[in-house]
Amino acid sequence: MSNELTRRTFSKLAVAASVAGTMGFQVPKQAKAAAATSEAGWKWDKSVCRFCGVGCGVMVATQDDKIVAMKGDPESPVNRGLNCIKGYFNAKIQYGADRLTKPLLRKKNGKYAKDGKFEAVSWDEAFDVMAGKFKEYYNANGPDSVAIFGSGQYTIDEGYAAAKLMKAGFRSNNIDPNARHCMASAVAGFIQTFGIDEPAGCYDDIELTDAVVTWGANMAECHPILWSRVTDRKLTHKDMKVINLSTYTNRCSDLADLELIFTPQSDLAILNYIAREMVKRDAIDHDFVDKHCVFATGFTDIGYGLEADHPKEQGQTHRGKAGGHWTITFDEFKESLEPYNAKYTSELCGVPVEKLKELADLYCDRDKKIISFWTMGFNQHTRGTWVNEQMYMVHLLGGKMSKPGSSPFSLTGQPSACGTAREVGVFAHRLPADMVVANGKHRAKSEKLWKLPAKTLNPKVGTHAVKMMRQLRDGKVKFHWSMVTNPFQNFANANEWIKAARTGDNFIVVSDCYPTVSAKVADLVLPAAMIYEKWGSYGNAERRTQHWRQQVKAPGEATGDTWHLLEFAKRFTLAECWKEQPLPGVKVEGSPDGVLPDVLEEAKAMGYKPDQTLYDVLFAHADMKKYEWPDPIADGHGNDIAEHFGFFVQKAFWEEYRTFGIGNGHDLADFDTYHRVRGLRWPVVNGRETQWRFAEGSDPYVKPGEGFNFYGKALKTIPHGGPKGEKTNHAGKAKIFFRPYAAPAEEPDAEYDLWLCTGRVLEHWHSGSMTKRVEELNRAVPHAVIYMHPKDAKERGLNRNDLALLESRRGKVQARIETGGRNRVPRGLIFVPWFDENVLINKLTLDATCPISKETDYKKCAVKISKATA
Amino acid sequence: MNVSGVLLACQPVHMAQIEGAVNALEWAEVHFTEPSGRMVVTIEADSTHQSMDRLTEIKGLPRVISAEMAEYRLGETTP
Repeated sequence: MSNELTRRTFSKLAVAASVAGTMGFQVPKQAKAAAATSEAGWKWDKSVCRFCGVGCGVMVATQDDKIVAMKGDPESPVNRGLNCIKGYFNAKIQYGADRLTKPLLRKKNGKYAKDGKFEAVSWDEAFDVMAGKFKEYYNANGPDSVAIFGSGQYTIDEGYAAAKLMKAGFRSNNIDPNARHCMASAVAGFIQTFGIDEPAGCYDDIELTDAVVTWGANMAECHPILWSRVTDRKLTHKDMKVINLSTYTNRCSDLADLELIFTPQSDLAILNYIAREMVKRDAIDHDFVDKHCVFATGFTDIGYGLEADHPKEQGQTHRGKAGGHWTITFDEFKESLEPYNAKYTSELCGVPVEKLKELADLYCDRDKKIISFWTMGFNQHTRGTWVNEQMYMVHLLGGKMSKPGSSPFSLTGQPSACGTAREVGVFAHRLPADMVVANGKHRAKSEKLWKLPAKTLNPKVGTHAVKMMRQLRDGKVKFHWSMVTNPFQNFANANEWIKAARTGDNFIVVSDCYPTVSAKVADLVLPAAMIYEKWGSYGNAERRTQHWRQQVKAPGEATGDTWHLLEFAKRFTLAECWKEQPLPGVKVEGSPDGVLPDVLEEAKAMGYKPDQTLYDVLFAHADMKKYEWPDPIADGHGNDIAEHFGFFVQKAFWEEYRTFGIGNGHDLADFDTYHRVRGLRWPVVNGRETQWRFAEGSDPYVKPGEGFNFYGKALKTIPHGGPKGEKTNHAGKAKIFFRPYAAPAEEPDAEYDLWLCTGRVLEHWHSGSMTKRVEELNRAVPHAVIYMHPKDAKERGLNRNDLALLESRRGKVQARIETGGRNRVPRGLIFVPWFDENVLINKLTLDATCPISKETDYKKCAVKISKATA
Repeated sequence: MNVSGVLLACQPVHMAQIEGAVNALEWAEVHFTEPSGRMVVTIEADSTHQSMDRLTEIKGLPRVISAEMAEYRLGETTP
């Protein structure tokens, strides 16, 4: 055997043995030794994947301030050593050739000009112009005129800094995350049903279940590692059943025993059909329902979240009170379900009766443990909150809830939609730990924890993301700062907002790492550090919080988003922000309507000085600075942010932030603990994490003898029988909602004759700003294509690979036709992924939202298609 | 030469067929198998491009349910 062959054989065996060992195969000694030898000298550290909400652990190897190797973390309970194709290229996303390394400002004749061209500027000049524009608008128009569009990809400390700066510093609630586009309906569903956000179950349910049902979730492509766990379960548990519900055939169907392809929006009817069958066949867990649930319903004439003058909004009396609801009796609930018989439902959804029955058989089986998974198919829905609630309706009726192996599970799309956007409260209406700005007690508690004068916090709910863009167009929002997101690619009806940003009297700032569509639309671009270039933490879909250390330095002058926020905060004094502020619509006790009171006198009494900066008071007070840098927990790793500010910023923020959740159902462990473990699922009480929330024996908030306790506090006191009925408190109970079918906001007609559904593909993540920089991923899927049924294509004279013109009432794009491939669409529907900025599909989509959650429906609008002439 | 370690899953009844199909590829080898339908495969390639193409090819083999990368060494990355 030649040396070359020996070496090759050895390295293959080493890799195979390492993988096999990780995956629990029997591995011979010799192979184990080969694996160990091959890894000698590598410096590994644990970290987290940058991409979706699954929250896989990754191991990062560094050498000379460069990442040299990556692999799935074998000790991670989430992915157990596996990574999907994107995770595997985590390191490469940092090394794209067009990384932004200097601030860029539009200038003409040496000065900032809206119609100028980008020039590299110093950080000082960038912040001088940025703070100048901010003050111009803020001083003239008050806290409502400025806004931050944040992200479910913010690290927890970044989201915390942004929310605190806006809410406590600038006294503006105009901060909302891109999670509004992906998780808001899930959040509203949780709050309305349980009174507290985020799933009860966890990923451990997969290995304990008898069935997985996917509802509008292409897990095989979008959450591949969890799908590999489902696959494993299916292969090792002979009675395991998999059912895939979708509006087109996707890769999940390859594993499924049963596939139901339904007409868009008819999921509302299918869920009611299942509930009706459960009632009819008495498949209800009466003991569970009687002890732990109440029945409820709400307004139906709630509109579609479109602008007030839209024809679809006319006569929708309760569009401003969309979430209003009340309890009903079981008999009323039962009667409401009556129309949803098999025949009616089948006609509405296009699924044969036999298949519907097979689905209902599963949910009606008392002995079967079931997980229902869903993602954007439910959340991006003009009745997104309803359909989330209906999923809980089915699980609660059957008592298949908060029990090992039985879980209605809302998957997330972003790595910290849960950990940052939701738990920190980076929303226009939220404060940390499920508290809200409109609640006086919550504001008082937050003011105390943040050491603010009473009445500093603004009680008026800020503008949600979609409204933020509409207000930018209308000239109400004038300063718009987006961070860790790409709004001008990811908002529906994008043409309107791009035009507003470029032509209006406003100032657009984008913190980003690559020249995205949004960076190109901006007036000022701030270069950002990426994931392994800073310390950080994310919270995944199963409530698992995971921290990581900085591994390498950011290129050029790029810095972390926390650095952007803190340096900006240094440019504002208390006198500028905590004075009396005009705020139309606000009511604060003791002040005239429309005014936020001056709190400077009380600030002085608390020992603050009016010329202190927001940085001094919010981010660098004595309690923060006691967290010194360096710290042994760093284990030799750098921290550019701590070096710059002179204290351990991330640890200080973490320790302050977690005080909000302690004793409040959101308990988190101390900072150092997370650097010793592979994440913990909150609530973490006395060092112990929680697998099944609301369940006795697992959740420390449930007392012995209670069995279950749905202890979330929000929206528990509601009227009975109607909006004006007598109010009762239902502490500890979950709500089983009846919600009817409602037609979509826009449907195909004679002119725009096809449904357009948008979404992701495996190789790219969101708007492609990172994954498009990885040659391997870009080469695998370089362009977005139009997935179309071959007969629909033929009828329009189109062939596979033809360039087609795709038009809606709002915009048009060109893309190539794909009649085969991985997504097999039914007749009458096309699917176009949204990662490709050259096929800016959101120019076509409709900005209709769920009126309760304000989340956009990216899955349904009407389009037409023809051969492109160019 | 890059070596990637891949975890492949299939239905147990298709194991022999898939093992044969993988080993028939000049650049791939099955090292370990489990009766449940899991196997560890290595892929050899001259560049990361080629590694990805080859992984895609394995994913596309008939009856393969999933094939995911578990370990990869970036040291010898070719652009």
